Amino acid sequence: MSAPAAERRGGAAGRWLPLAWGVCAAALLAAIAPGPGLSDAEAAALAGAGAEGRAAPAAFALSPPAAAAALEAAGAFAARLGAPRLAGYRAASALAGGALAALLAMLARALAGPAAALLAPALLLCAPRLIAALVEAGPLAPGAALGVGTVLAYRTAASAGRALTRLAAALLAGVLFALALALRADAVQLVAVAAAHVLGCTVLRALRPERARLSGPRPRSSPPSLVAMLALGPAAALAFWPSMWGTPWQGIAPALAALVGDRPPWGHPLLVTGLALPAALVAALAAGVLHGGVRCWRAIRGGPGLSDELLLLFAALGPLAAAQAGLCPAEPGPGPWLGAFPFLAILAARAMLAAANAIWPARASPVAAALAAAVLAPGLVAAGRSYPLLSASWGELAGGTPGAATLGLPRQDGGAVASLLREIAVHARPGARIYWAAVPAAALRTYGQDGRIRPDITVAQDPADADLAVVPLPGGNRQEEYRVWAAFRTSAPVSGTFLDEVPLAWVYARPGAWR
Amino acid sequence: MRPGAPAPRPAIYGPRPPPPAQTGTPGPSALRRALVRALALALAASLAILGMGGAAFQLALPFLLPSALDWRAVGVLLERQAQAGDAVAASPAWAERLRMVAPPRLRVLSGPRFSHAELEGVRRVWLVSLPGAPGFSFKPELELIARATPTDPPLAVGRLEIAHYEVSHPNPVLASLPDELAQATIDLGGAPCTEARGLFRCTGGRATASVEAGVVDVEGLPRQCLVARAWGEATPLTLTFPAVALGRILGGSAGLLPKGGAPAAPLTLTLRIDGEEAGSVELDGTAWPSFRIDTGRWAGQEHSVALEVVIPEDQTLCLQAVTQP
Repeated sequence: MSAPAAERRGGAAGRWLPLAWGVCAAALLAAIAPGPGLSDAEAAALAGAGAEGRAAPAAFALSPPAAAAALEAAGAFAARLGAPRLAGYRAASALAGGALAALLAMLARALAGPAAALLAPALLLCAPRLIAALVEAGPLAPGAALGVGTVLAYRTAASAGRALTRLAAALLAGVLFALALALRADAVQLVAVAAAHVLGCTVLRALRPERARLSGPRPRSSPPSLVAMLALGPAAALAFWPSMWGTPWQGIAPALAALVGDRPPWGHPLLVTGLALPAALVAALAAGVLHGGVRCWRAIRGGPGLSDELLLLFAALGPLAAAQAGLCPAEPGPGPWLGAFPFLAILAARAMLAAANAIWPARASPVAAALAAAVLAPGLVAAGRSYPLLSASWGELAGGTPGAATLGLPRQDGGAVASLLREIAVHARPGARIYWAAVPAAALRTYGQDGRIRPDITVAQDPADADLAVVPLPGGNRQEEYRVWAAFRTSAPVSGTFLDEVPLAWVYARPGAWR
Repeated sequence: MRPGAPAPRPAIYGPRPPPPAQTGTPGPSALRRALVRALALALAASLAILGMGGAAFQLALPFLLPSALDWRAVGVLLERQAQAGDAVAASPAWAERLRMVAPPRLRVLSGPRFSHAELEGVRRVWLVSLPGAPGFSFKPELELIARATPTDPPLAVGRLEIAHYEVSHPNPVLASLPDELAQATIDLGGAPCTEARGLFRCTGGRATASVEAGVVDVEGLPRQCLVARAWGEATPLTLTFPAVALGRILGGSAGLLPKGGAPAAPLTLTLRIDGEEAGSVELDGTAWPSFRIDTGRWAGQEHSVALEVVIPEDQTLCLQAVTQP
């Protein structure tokens, strides 16, 4: 077969890849969505959706009230269709996950070809912790999709041939960024990524003017996107946070205070990523960054694609830097910097394909397929084994969930309680009062609305007044559990949720309350 | 394709990069190509090893960990063989399913530490191990061997191992003051406290306090102790137990629960027996230091025991105290 024919066939198949990935990812995420319990972060996102959330809205939260209202509408729609509210809440995330996979495939195809478009979304969807973050109702999956969309539009604005297309793409980048910012305040890192890209390209081209003509997109095409982002971002912030309408200047101080939280220890995002994800995937992501760095260095020295190389690296490192700076909310696992993984996946896919091509150019495809299988297998096995406790899974470098428990790492994000609900419904005595230690009210409300908590069961505010106590084990201080020990005069639970023998949540009962 | 011509680059690898600029510089040397190929091979080998190893690890994990039947068997074994004064511990410490199967009369040691204070009142220790679990180490065994003697080789129960240790120098407990709280009277700066449902509430001068017997998290371990919380001005809190069986020693541990921003504060604990000062100890309030006060003069009899402590403002004290022969 001639090379042009092969390219035509590859190109035709490649055009359908984003759509195929989008549909597959959305279907996969929607199918697994009902399993995992509500995490604490998810419950916080839902908190504004209930009556108590509307009665006392936070002065400034990382997610605006509109996000909670949208979730409430999705839940109500699902309930009207007879589906669980939780499925409704998470349907939006499944759709966003599908969009993320499609956009990722588009960006990967544009930057590294159809094979990368095939592989990159698979790398994103093969780790239990990343799947858990994408399933979660809330801003994580939509925020990551909008982040990739913003970067894709930004790149199109910088590289399109026609001026009108460039202008439209710049406006689209601004709109997508504004929407991302409306979902989560830490999306502000996208502006820093764009600014760093514009600055980097400008400085490097100024230093090496003789190479400028080889370095990809037009040097002056990026600033319009940046201007659109800078103009539409604050407008979105003002539009979506009503607490800033009256006195925006007074609202900025608490906004900044909320945005810049406590800084995690140095290297925290990298360490958590390394320990939480399968080791083979971590190695592929690291190799991707190194390969991207080498390509960037070659581009700086006059090779092709300086703009794209810089953009990919900045976009991959931006969310990690934001997490390191304390811009992301402190949640267990790599979810807070989920926005980095699509770009890391592109870099990893490109490095793996380059390696396959270098090892055996004539048989690059089978070699690449074998490499992909090796990288994807551990995550897929781990996801299958840990479902629905996906967020309690740790990678092999941590020693799995048992090794992570030995190291004192967080055990779960609050969702493990859901695995106990069926057992409680079967064994709790009629009219039992249950003390739900550190289980968010929004999670209890959702479980109740979905019929997962028996209607005769009431909530006890204190272990002393309770017949049963449900205690999640996040992995830190266990004072809540010891209060239950003292009140129930026992340290022996009647039931528990385990992943690889590591306890994630307990049920304690007074005599006669557990049948 | 002509024979001898280079193989076409598959289309799946994306658009072909533009040819290098005709600047007169030579193309990549054979050495450079070999280096790139070696790096690619190294990456591929690493990914293959990590991938296959990772998948094998995930698939093998269920076969390294105990089953529900193994745990039930251990529960039955303990039920049949454990005696009063025995305690049981798990290694690694997170294997807390043990608490579900251990007989209620058996004390379950929660942490991996086997210090003098942890083994108070314990004559024998049953150590249940998961030798195949990731993160397993022999450190608990080594710590336990320093204080106890293994009687038999470990017994394999499925994928669990159970070992039995005799504590070399057991410290029997005559009375535990947290258990005697119901009979106690408490005052704050001379003002008596009122008791309701096991909780003493105190108001004295510009200070308030509460005292109860509870379990609190101190340095990551559960401590059953007298939990005293104080608000307002630091005022002496006196706990008087009317009839406590005394031995040669009144010992225990005390610590302030960590509180963000609160400065470290030393604690002074004074012991009075029948109104007479028997001893006083100064403790570092931030850690979990142990103390021992000689009560040999009153050994073998029941006496009124009063503990006096000044809790720093807005702090919570966890005080464990027992009398020993």
